[in-house]
Amino acid sequence: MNSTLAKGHWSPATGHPMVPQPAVITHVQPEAHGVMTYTLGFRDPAVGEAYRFHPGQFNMLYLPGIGEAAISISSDPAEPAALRHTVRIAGNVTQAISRMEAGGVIGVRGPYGNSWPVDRAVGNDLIIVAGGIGLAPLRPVIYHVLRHRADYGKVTILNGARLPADLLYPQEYDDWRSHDIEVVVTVDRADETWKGRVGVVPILFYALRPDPKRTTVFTCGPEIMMHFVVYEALARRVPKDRIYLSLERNMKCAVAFCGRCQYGPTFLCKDGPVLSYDRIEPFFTVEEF
Amino acid sequence: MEPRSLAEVLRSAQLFWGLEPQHLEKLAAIASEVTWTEGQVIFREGEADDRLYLVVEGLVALEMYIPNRGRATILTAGPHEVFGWSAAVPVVGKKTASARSLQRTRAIAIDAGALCAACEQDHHLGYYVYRTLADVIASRLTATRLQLLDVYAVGKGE
Ligand SMILES: Cc1cc2nc3c(=O)[nH]c(=O)nc-3n(C[C@H](O)[C@H](O)[C@H](O)COP(=O)(O)OP(=O)(O)OC[C@H]3O[C@@H](n4cnc5c(N)ncnc54)[C@H](O)[C@@H]3O)c2cc1C
Ligand code: FES
Repeated sequence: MNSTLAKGHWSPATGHPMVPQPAVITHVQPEAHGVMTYTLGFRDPAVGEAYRFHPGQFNMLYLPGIGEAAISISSDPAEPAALRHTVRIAGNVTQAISRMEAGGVIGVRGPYGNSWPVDRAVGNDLIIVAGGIGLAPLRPVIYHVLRHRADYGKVTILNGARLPADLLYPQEYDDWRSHDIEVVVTVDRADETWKGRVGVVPILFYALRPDPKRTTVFTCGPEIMMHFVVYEALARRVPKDRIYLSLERNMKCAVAFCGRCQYGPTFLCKDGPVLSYDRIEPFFTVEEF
Repeated sequence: MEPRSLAEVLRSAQLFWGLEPQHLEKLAAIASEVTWTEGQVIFREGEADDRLYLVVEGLVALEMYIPNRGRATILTAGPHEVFGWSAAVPVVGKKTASARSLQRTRAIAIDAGALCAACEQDHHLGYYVYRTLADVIASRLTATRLQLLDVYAVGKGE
């Protein structure tokens, strides 16, 4: 059986880069309106055993007759057998996935893409900034930090959603906090029953005083939100090469072949989706790029 | 809180980092400490409240009343953030939103009339204070734009 480890986009753990491996849905966890987390187990035990991923990587999830979508892996890299994906309904594929239940079979190929540079950030303070479904690709980073807490300094998670009911993984925040991680949450809209913060994610920076010499920022969310996250981080003198963004543009082949995900000189499926701001600055604010 | 320690609290707020010590003292002289218990109304929209506030700890909701829909929180202000800025902008003069403490909250209140007078007398202080307020208002504007864009809507930006 194909049982290569994750060495890169050409040799995904699931074998031939273009051939999906069947995986069974073992659990479905509703997260928010239109968002669910699916736990998958490969049908072929050899594939399951060989499968490894790094925080920030994604799989192509395939439904025969419908299509494929790039979906980040949202689970703990140290437990690759319990592979989880948090899916928000956007179009055909995600809509079809949302109708599936435990026992259903999905095609999986991957993992693809690069990863959040958790090793480069060792010894640094971390600011993890997520908006909406953007927390999904960052959750593996959080799990990694929980397992290697002593490797990092101050860790702050700034997390935002549209409504309180849209916040992802709220049941885990207390556990994260118990590991000396500051979790600050905000929503764009709320009624008077909500006792937390209201306002967009970037304004959570106002209360932070990062030490620019030892701070790394990881952010994922709507691109317009990330623009302002970068702006706030730069205003606090965090170096451009220490601000990492996950650029989740549309993808097709995921193996640097079709060009669908090209972003300036990079193919986001291979060189990304995680890129440091100094690499993308020339294109990041260009309209319609 | 003594004026000296008020000056220290003011200095510790990001907003006033660049302020000269003598200017901090001037601000401290027209400032006082206030605390609110959870759920207390601090001021109401339309009132001619004459103070602006810098949150030290806690959380304050800025709310607007929408007829037939009730109160909606438009923004919250936490530590290091200013609210009630309209008191220091003469052309506005009235509170543009209501404020309510969501937790036990400690803040520094600055008398807006005395602040305007101090800025008139000392234009260096005035320049700094109003530049700082311009920053606060500009970031509110940017944040409000982002809120209006509804950036989490599917297919519109993620
Ligand atoms: C690396 C990567 C990781 C991703 N991780 C996740 C994840 O963890 N969970 C999740 O729910 N989604 C994730 N996505 C987004 C997901 O791949 C898309 O929403 C995908 O198009 C869904 O397929 P679909 O057939 O359901 O919708 P489609 O029919 O392809 O699209 C529906 C609508 O969404 C728009 N759209 C689709 N993809 C994008 C995009 N990337 N950027 C902006 N607009 C888009 C389309 O223009 C269209 O309006 C990720 C994307 C990438 C590239
Ligand atoms: S998705 Fe085909 S080149 Fe990246």
